[in-house]
Order: sequence, then C-alpha cells, then structure tokens
Amino acid sequence: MAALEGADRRRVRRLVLVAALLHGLAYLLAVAPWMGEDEPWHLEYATHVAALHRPWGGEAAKLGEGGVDERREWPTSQLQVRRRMAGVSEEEIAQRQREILASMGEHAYFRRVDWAGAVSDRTDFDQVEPFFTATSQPPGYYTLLGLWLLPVRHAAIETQLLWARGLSLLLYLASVWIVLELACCAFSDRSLAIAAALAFAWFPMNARLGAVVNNDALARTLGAAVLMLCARRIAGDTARGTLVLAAALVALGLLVKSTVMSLAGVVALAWLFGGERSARWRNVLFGVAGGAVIVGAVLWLWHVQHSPVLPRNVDAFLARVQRGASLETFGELWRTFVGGFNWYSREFSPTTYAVALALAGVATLSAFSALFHTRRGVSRPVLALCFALIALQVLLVVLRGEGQGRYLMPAMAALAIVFATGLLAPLSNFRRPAGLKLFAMLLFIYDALFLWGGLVPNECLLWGS
Amino acid sequence: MLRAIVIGVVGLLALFSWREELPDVEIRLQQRTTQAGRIFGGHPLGQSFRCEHGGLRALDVALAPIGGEARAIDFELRRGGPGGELVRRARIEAAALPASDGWARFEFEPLADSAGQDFHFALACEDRNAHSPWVRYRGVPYAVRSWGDRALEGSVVEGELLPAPPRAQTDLHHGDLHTLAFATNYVHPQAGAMKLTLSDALTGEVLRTSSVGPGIPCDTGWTFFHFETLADTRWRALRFKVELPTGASLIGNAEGPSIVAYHGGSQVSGDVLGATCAGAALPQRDLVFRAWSSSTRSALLARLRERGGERILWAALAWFMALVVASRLLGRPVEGRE
Repeated sequence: MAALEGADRRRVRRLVLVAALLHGLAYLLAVAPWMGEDEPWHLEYATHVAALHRPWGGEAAKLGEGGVDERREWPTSQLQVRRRMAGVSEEEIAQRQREILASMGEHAYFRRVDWAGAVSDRTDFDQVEPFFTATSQPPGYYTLLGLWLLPVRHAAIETQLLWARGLSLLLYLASVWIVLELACCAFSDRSLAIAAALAFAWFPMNARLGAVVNNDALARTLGAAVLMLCARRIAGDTARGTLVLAAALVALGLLVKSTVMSLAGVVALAWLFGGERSARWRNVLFGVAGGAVIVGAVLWLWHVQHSPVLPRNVDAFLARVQRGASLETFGELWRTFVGGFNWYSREFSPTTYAVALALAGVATLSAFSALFHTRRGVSRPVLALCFALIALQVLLVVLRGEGQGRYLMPAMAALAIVFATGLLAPLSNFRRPAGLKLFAMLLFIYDALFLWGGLVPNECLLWGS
Repeated sequence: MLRAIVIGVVGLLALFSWREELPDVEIRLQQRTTQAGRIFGGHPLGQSFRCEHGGLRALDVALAPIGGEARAIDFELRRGGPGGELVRRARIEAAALPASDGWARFEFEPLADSAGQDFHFALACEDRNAHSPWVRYRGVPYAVRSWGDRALEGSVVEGELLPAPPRAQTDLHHGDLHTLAFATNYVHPQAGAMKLTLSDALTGEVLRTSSVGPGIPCDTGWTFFHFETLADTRWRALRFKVELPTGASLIGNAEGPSIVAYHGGSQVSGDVLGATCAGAALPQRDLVFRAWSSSTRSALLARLRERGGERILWAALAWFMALVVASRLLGRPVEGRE
C-alpha cells in the first residue's frame, strides 16, 4: 500500500488539476448561456455590485404607506433589488433586467426550459418567476463576483456572463485541489486518494456547477476547505491557526449561503475531538457558548437580510420540516443531485436514478462499516467527520423544506471521500489499483452519459416551440 | 488513450440514442392548465405548423379526458393550411384514446417531401366527445383562480380582480394585461357571442371590451378574451363583466370564476402557426402537439450544428483530452516507474 507523497504526489496533483481544467472547460463550453439554475438573478445581483452599488442599505419599497403602493409602479423583483442595493435607480434595475431577458430570448432560454413557457418577449424577471430574486441571498458571493466583473462591467451581458462563469471554473479547480489535499489526509493509500479526487472532479453535477454562475459554487469550495482543515486537525495537526482559519471560513461562508451552516458543526466537532483529551471539557463549554453566539448572530443577520431561509412563524417552520422530511423532497433531492437538465425541467430515466441509488447505497453502507472495522489506509476519524458533515447537510435540507441537489454541495468533498472509501477500501491493497481503474471507468461512463446523453441533447437538440 | 476512446464511443452512442426521441416540432409545457374543451361535431379543432425535416410520419396531440362518452377521433392532415390539399388521414377509436392525461398518436404513411413545408391537421368527432386537446396560449400566464368545482349561475357574471390585500395574493401581478381566460361550460356552436367588459374598479370607466364567437363553441374548456394591451395593470383593481349566451355558464368556486390572466409578449418560434376551429383561426394559441419526421443521424447532427455551433465541438475536444489526462492517473506511481 503506497501513500500519495513526494514526487508522485506532485505529479498526481498536476495531472488532476490539468484533467479537471480540461473537464471544467468542456462543461463551460457545453452549457448554453443562462442554463444554470437562477443564473439571470445571480448575474443581475453581481452586475449591480460591479456598477459600484453597495449590496446593503438599499431603499425598501413603500407598500401602502401614505397611500403609495410602489408595487403598482415597479415589479416586485425590481423593488427587491432596490431594497438590497444602495443608490441604484429603478430605471437602472429595469434596464438590466431587460438586457438579460433579451439575451435569454436570443439564446432560446424559453424554448429550453419547459416550465418557463415559450413566449420570448418579456419585460421583467417577474414574468419568468413571480416574487423571486437573488438579492435575498447574503452578499458575500456577489461582492466577490462583482469585483471579478469589474474589468468587463461595460461589456455586453453575454460577455459578463461568460466572465462570471470563469470565476466558477476557478472555484471548481480550487475545490479539486483542496479535495486532493483532503484525500491525502483521509487516506494513506494512493488509489483511494486518487479515487476521491476523481469522484469529486468527475461528478457531473459538480463539474457543471463549475460552469454556471451560482453562489453554491463558492459554498462548495468553502465546504471543501473547511472540511480539509478540520480533517487535518482531527488527524493530529495541532497548529492553533488551522481551526481559527476554518472558523473564519465558516463565518465567511455564512455571508455566502445559508447551506454552509453545516460547516459550523464540523468545526465544532474538530474543536471537540481534535485537541488534547485534558482540554475537552473546556472545549465543550467554549464550543456551546461560542456556538450559541454564532447561531444567534447568524439568525439575526438572515433576518435583517430578508433571507427566505427563515420561516415567518412556527407553523410555517413545522410545515417546512414536514415537507422537507417527505419522500417527495428526498426524491427531488436525489434526482437533482444525480442529474437534472434545463433548470431541472428534464431528467434521466427512472432506471438511471435507481441504479445510481443502488450504487450509492452500497458505497454508503460499505463506508459506514469502515467506521467500525479497520480498513487499511483509511482514517476513521476523518471518515466520521465526513459522515457528520453529510448528515448535517441533509438535516439542513429537511429544515429548509426544499430538496435541490446543489444544496448538498458544501458536503460534496465529504461525499467523494465516502464514495471512494465505500467502493475501494474493502479491496485488498493488491487489488486497489485495479479497483481504481474500474471505479474511474464507471465514473467516466456516468459523466459521458450525463454530458452527451443528457445535458447536450436536452440543451441543443430538444427545444420547445 | 484506449480508455478515453472507449469512453468517447460511449458518449457518442449516448448522443445518437436520441435519434428516435427528437420530435420535428414540439410544444413543451411542464404544466398544462388550459384545455380547449370538447370537440363538437362539425367543428374540428386544428393546428398549423411548419415541418423542419422530410419524412413526416406521425403527430401526437395532448388530450385530457374531461368526462362523458369517449368517441373516435378522425385526423386529417392538409398541406399549406386548413383549406389545403388533403394528404393523409388517420383515426383513433374511442377505446384507444388515452384514459388519463396523455398523448394520442396519429400515425400515417411518411411524407418524403415534408421538409420546410407548412401543414395543418384537424381533429374531428361526430358529436361532443370526452377528450379535450390541451391549448397553449401565447402570453405570460398568471393563474387568478384555477379550474373550479362548480358551474356559476347566471348569464351575466360580474366580479373584481383585486390587489393584495384584500386578496391573499394579488390577482394582477404584471403590468401588461392582454387576455383574460375564463373556464366555460357548454357554449354551443349555434350560440351567440360571449362578451367581456373590463372597467376600472374605482371609477367605473370602461377600459376594454372583447367578444368571442359566435361559432366558437366551448364546453368544459377555457374561453380566451383578447384585447388591446392594458399597460398599467400591476396590482390594480379591475372590474369584469362576462355576458354568456343562453345555456352557457362559467366554472369557478365560492370566490368567483376560474380565471387565468395573460400578460407580456406573444412571440413564439416560427414553426407553430396557430390553432383553428372549423378552419377559422383561433388567435394567439396553439394546440399542444408534437410532430415526428426523419430520425436519421444526419438530421440529429444538423440540429446539433445549428443550435450548438462550434462550441460543442470544442467541448467534445476538451472533454476527450480530459479523459486522456485523467487516464494517466490510473497508472503506477512515479517512483515505481523509476
């Protein structure tokens, strides 16, 4: 059993990154403009930041005060943007939406997305999805993307879209690199480490996330980074800065997307179990007190940011949990995680999802058993941390009441580790290199079916009239 | 390299497996909400379209069973338009019609020269049937009240479209209203016209009027009242009055009639040319259908080239190169080689 180290590790890292770059480029080229879920709204938000409008302190809409109801004057999607962005005029918001809608029409968005209807001339975003906006999301990702867009802020909207997708590609590459580091921490076996990195880089919906504008792309990268740092801590890295950096990334993540809340739990576990035994009770006390402060601060922040994550009342919360825990939600979560096309309006065949579920079930059970039985080359504490993150991520989906595959992305690195463990770790050391080849072939075939049997035909061949 | 080639072949096979699944023209609606209503004897419902490829061989029409006696549907395909040359006939017997919401397929001898030509198909029944074709109206729909559970009394029905509050959700969310669709029962072919009057709820000023018929029957379907666009309808209060011919009624619930408001533009792709009733154009709408023609590999590649362009070719190249590089990871460790 060979660990991934020295010159071999450098070579593998180089190859993984080059392969991931080419793979990400393939998706960047293949995914048609505006075919990332909610992409028009995400880009709209970021372009206002690029136009140097501050993403906080905007003007709230008048909903009847003094006899004025601004919803009669402006679409709600535009009033929501104005509430977020400081100093932006209604005309500017309307103009940006018209610009994006014209581009969507030109690029056959309305013929590709089955729920959107085929009519291509629309005047505002409400005419695509009423009452919806990205500006209820925290400003972290959009601030980064807005800065990234500065050099092209006067260019055509399609150029800005392509440039913005470039940032997602970079985030995808950074995530792949981080996952390889994580894999080296989780496995002292070369084949397992490569399998985890490949599983992450070649998982189709993850690669596709590297080709669209979405705050889940940054949430996924932060998720991988925090898990990697915590895994190092669990594996024996006693440097104080490791967990401080992880906690800082979680704090940053909470300004990006609510789905990274799970990472706080991972940091807490690493804090509790990563230090010296004598300090554990002290850590517990600090952890509980600190955790309560952080959760309170986050809930307050989301409240003042008008985040849709927070339910309006207890009844709404309970209804949400009931919906989130239903089989329908888990079914939707699974389908959109394994492969959904054209804004989830089209899918693979049910057989494909069933086969994927069977394979994932076997991998998960096998990896879970590795928590209790020694598997050579597998770090059980790191594996346990991965399972904890996955469980927290699924819990968040239940609490949110919406099952969309990309909400699992902060735990994508953990899933890659579990998947590699489950399918390869039971093999003997001698058979693992051959197992890696089979593992990679299955992954490549899945990717081929996704890209050439799903994404490209659905986006390029099958248009509504 | 061999591994990459094998995976590349898998990708190509996956792509070409779509050959049989690509309709020539298709109206794709994830949620079908508006049906035309029963087909009356002597008043066939039809649709014009332009065929992209040669070999037109079948048409699927989305039908919803809406109760009553199922009757066979006769299908006619004409070249050019409703009055054009009759080129194909087909028939689906009552027992073979879909028992639930689904496609009814009308198959016929392929038309080799269909590429680029306009066609019109019509669905006819001897008498009122149990199956209604679905309709896609050209506009941005906003459901005020979905299909109700009762027929509303009276030949004149009045009501209001209101903002929120008092409604839980506003009735008019968008700014450019151009059509109101009402769920309608038993408007006979010989019945008179139906009329809609739309006025300002506060001042009473009449803003728009619209009429449908006579000669446009509608039973258990939606009647679309189209009028010149009203620009400032967002979160506004409007009053409507619908006058119905004898025997007809609106469908609704305790709150009022079932209504779908249509806003925005009406541009759709140029290969759907509109629906008809007894040969007369039904403006701004299409039956939900799909047409099947050639399923050759070259037709698939032509569409890929036209809609995907060069970027798909570059994507394929990058993807293949990624496989080649990734395959190198599966070899022995570098120390082992040295």
